[in-house]
Amino acid sequence: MATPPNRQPILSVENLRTYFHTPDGLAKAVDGVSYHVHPGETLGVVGESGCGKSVAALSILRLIPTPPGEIVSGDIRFNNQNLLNLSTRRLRGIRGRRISMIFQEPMTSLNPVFTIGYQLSRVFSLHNRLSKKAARRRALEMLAACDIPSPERIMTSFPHELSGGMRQRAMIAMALGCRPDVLIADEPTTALDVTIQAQIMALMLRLKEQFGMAMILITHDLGIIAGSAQRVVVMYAGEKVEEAPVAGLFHHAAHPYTAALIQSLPVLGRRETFLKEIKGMVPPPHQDIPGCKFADRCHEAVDACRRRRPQLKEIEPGHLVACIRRTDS
Amino acid sequence: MKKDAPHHRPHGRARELQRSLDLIRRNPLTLFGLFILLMLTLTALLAPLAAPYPQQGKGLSNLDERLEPPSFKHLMGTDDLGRDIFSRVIFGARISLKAAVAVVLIVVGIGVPLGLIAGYAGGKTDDLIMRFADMILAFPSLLLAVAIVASLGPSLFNALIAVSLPWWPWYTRLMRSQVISIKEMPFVESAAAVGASHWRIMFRHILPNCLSPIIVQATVDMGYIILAIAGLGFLGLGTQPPTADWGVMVSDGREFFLNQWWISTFSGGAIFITVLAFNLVGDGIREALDPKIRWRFQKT
Amino acid sequence: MNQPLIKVDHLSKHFALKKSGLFKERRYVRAVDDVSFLIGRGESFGLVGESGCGKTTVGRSILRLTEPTAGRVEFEGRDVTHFKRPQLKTYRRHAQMIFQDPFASLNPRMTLADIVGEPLLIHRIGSKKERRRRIITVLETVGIDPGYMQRFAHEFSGGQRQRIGIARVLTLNPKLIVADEPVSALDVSIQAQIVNLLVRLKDDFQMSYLFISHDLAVVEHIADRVAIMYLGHIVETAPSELIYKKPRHPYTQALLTAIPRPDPDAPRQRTILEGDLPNPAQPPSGCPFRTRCPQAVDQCTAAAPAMTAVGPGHFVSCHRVDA
Repeated sequence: MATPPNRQPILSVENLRTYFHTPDGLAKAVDGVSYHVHPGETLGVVGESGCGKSVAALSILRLIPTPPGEIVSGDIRFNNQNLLNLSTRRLRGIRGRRISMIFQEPMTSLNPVFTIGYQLSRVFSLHNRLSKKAARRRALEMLAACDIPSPERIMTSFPHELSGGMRQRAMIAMALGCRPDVLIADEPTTALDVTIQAQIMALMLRLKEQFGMAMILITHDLGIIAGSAQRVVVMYAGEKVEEAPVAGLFHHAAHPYTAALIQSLPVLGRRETFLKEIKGMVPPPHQDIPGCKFADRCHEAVDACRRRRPQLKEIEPGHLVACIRRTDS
Repeated sequence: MKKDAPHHRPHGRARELQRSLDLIRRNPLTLFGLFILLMLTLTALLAPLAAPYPQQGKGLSNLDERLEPPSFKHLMGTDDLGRDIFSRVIFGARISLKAAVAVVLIVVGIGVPLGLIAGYAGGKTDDLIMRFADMILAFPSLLLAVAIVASLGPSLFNALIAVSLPWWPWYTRLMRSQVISIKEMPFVESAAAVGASHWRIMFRHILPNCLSPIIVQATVDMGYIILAIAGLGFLGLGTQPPTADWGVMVSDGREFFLNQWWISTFSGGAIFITVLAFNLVGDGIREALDPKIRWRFQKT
Repeated sequence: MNQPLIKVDHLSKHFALKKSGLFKERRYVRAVDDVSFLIGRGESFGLVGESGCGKTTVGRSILRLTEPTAGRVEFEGRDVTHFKRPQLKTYRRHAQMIFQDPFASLNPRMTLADIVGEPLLIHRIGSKKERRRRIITVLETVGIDPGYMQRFAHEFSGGQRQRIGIARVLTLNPKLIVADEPVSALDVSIQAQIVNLLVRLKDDFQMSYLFISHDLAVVEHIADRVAIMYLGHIVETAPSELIYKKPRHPYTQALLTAIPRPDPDAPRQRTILEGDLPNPAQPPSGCPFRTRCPQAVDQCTAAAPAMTAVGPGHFVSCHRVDA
């Protein structure tokens, strides 16, 4: 499961800055974030609301509403092209075909007035230039591959007639039908029940292996990350604060935020009187903070933390952290 | 545990006010509309002072100066009884604005509470109220208004009634649909859980959260009410001569229209500008009150 | 005086569906089907299940926010299900609810002071001055700066809003709080804060909780006893530690293995449950779980299992369990 060190990343995000112009000021939703994913690898991007993980993913496919959003700077390389410089037409050829995305709430990502079959076939016929018949056949295949029972019946159903788990499977079928190289999954199971969540995650991982895709798995759920990702990126308030292989992250979390987050989780089978909480709140995105954004909530913060933004440095092979208390000695 | 926001920012009601004013200020069309309305209101209030010939505004004829085209003496010319049209337009504004306010108050006063009760109570009460409203809406409103005035006799007062009666069901419908979506919200259930009575829930929790579309609708409707009153006046079913009324003035100018265009045109223009102004302001208010714009960045 | 605070006795709630045809039989969704349990004074009782299992409906039925179709709810020995308006109002001083959605459970047109002070106003508790003092005290208890009293709900973050919701019910000093998924909509780092707050309040004010959640890890942490629900039925009830250590019902076991652990070395699955939740308007005959149960046998289709004791305080509703 370890990535051979010489493999080139298939998708890499470099120094991405995506800002939003709000009535309260300029919100720096993503402020200089870089990460990459190798072919066949699962990269987990974890963070809480407001950390910018979803905005970063949407920026990859340039799905940010502009205005009020704006991808201010950065390089997003896919197959030696900078996606930020591509024409809209060529970008559309990549969206859904080479890089696919699935979202949290399938009810709002599937068009409620069209049948599942229609939506899937359309995508396949548009991207792969298949005839109607061939596209329909591919749709049926994909639905079956996603463990949907009686796919013919689902083809003629509308999204609201399906359960949450079924809708998510339909979304996965739609996203994977063109055999993309990269799948971006933004909180794919957050809206689902736990038992269904397990089914969907197992399905996604199986299909990923089968099609040899890379996956960027975005979630706030550390449990899902632990079970599915090979490498993990932790984001906080628009910045990347840590990156590590999954075992390293959980066993030797370097950044105080990551460590605190892991420790604050209630763990089954371990009952304590009080959970280890993290005091304070995530700073609002439009607030300008000169130093480390986590300093106000950090036990180990010193004056130097508030003066300059900490740089990401490698403390072990493959393990980077942005914290002067870990990197500067 | 305190999260100290920057000190210079206002909070609470002050912040709400500032946000609304900001959004209104930013839209030039809305400002234009507001300006028109302001001018209208001022002239209406100060009519005896603003009009160059107040007596003629009220109806005094001046047969020496019949049908005179616009000049420095009579900015908008004179009508067939020699009355200064500019003054009559100003006095007409009084009528129109009074009528608009009166009708809106009646219509909102009937329609909104009925909608609130229908939406909140549901069941048979809802059915009863809505079917009654539907019945009224089934009639073509102008015909209904004409019929009402015909039976009551032509006068401004009766015209007000005739316009209000077909109009209130729209507000009942609007209010009811708002109520139905608001009453499902958790904060309403929270009020019930805490022991609030039905009255309290209706007036303290549901009503304040339903007002925005009502305010927008009422603002825009004021323009259309003026149009409707003018329409009845045009037909001779509203304000009676010699009172100045825009609709009546348009009608009076019909027979002279080819040569003495100014009699109908200026009063018609007044109606047009007023309806436009109310529309613009209504749009501006809608944008200012739109919750989507305000709470865009609650969750990322 | 070992009377339980709350006694739920064969509670059922059916929702009628629209008739599909003029002459067809009316169908019902049995959101809650014959549920019974007790909550003691100062005890924290967890109700766990996935969506559609009826846990929220149970909570709302106990508070009469929805009317039970059958069964009884007793509060301190008195039958709540038949309370009339005035008694109901008094009951509401003692039994309160905190809601899941911090963004929709506070009136957007009310200031913080109004929101927190409303219960006092409704029940005519204290003079204006006393009410104000109580509001300040309660805000400080939950960790909100009283200086923010004139602000509106949307000026606060999700975690703060949840605290406000807690402050609101705290003003009445209730004996029972029904917490309906109080932390599910919050960020992970804030969840711990709110859970800790709830634990502290329970101890400081000797309150009982009915803690409703789909998150077994959170419930195990905060609850003394836990009941697992599936399709309107309670399938297992046990003290907190036993639910984890010795789950006896196949659904409980499946639930436990499905929960992703934040530990990359944890053994990966397990029995992944097949299929979807059955249509609640057409529940399976016999045991409701049989359509997805890896251990189902003929008997499970034929008859619904009874609640049997498998240990002290440990009850399971399953044919395949041997006591």
